[in-house]
Amino acid sequence: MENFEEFARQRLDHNRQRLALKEQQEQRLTLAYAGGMFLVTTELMALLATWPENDILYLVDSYENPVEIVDATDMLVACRQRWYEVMNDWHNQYQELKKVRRVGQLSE
Amino acid sequence: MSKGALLLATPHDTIDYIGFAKLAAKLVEKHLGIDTHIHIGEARPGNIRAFKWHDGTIDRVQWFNSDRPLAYDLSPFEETLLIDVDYMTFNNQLKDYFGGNHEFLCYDRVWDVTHTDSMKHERYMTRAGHPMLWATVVYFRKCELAYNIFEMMKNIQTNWRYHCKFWGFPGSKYRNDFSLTLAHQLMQGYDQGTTFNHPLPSLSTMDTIYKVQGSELFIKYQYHGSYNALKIKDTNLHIMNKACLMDPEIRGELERYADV
Repeated sequence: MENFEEFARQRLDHNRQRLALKEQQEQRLTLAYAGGMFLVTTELMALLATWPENDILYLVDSYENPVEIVDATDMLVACRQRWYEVMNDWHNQYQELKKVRRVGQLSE
Repeated sequence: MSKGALLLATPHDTIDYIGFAKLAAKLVEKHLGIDTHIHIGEARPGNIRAFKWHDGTIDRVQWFNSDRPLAYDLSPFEETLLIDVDYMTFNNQLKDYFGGNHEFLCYDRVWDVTHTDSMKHERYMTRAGHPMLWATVVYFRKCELAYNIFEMMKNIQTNWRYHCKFWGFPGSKYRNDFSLTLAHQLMQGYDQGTTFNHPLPSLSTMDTIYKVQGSELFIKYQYHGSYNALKIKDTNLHIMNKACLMDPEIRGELERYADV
């Protein structure tokens, strides 16, 4: 029993928790689109946002294959949706974790 | 085209591999929405493995791992996700790999979720320092490349001692990760081939899950003699600490989550 109490009183290692949260959220920032696999980044979204409408775009995916994107706007919508889901969840979890001081508070 | 997950389990005296397989299959069905097939293999003694658990105890147990090279022959699916029975699925990330152009994928990096780098000795194998691949999760479609890789794994398994000496790696026991690494290298023409685009989330045998709350896992880990904790959520996890999967409370919570 003493061990459990001691464990619960232990100061939470925020840095490891922050890194774990970062890794798990970054893994979710992948989008399967038009047969390719893409990492959703601000650069990708910026390119899609500025690409002229009705112009075909060829992008190199995470597996270094060229993928034809017929509708850049449609891909931008999918990217923004994924970005919003992940970043919103990441931010919410981070805000919650900032309040945690002791290990025992983590699962409260 | 049929797609599904294949899990290979073997009856065991002390570790409930078949129970783990049923749980892992339920989680796959819940999150990936694909069929699952559990193959119960024959317990062929020979390999012994020592596990050091989080409480410091060491278990020397039989290790039945000889069926994995047969996965290509055993899979009833055109596209297969071959997973270890201690790999628990908590999100739909792997679903994206189905229906693409991939022929064979596995992990080339491991992410120790505790960030204590407890698997740092598993980055390379052989004298030549081949980057080690993990057989924990493998995606393959029925194609020539996948067939050749699994056939090569059979060859390496049959001639294990020879390959240990030839490539230069410890060969006291047959290990699928080593066998896959070599087979993958050889069949890709000494190239790295394709891997998943993210590392394999893993929990070492020395760290444990102390609480489960839905898809949130609370992990107790040891670092430089002191304990700490962290939480992961909606994250697939290779739980090497089978002892914590045998804990009735943890197992019960995981079963309840899988059933919802």
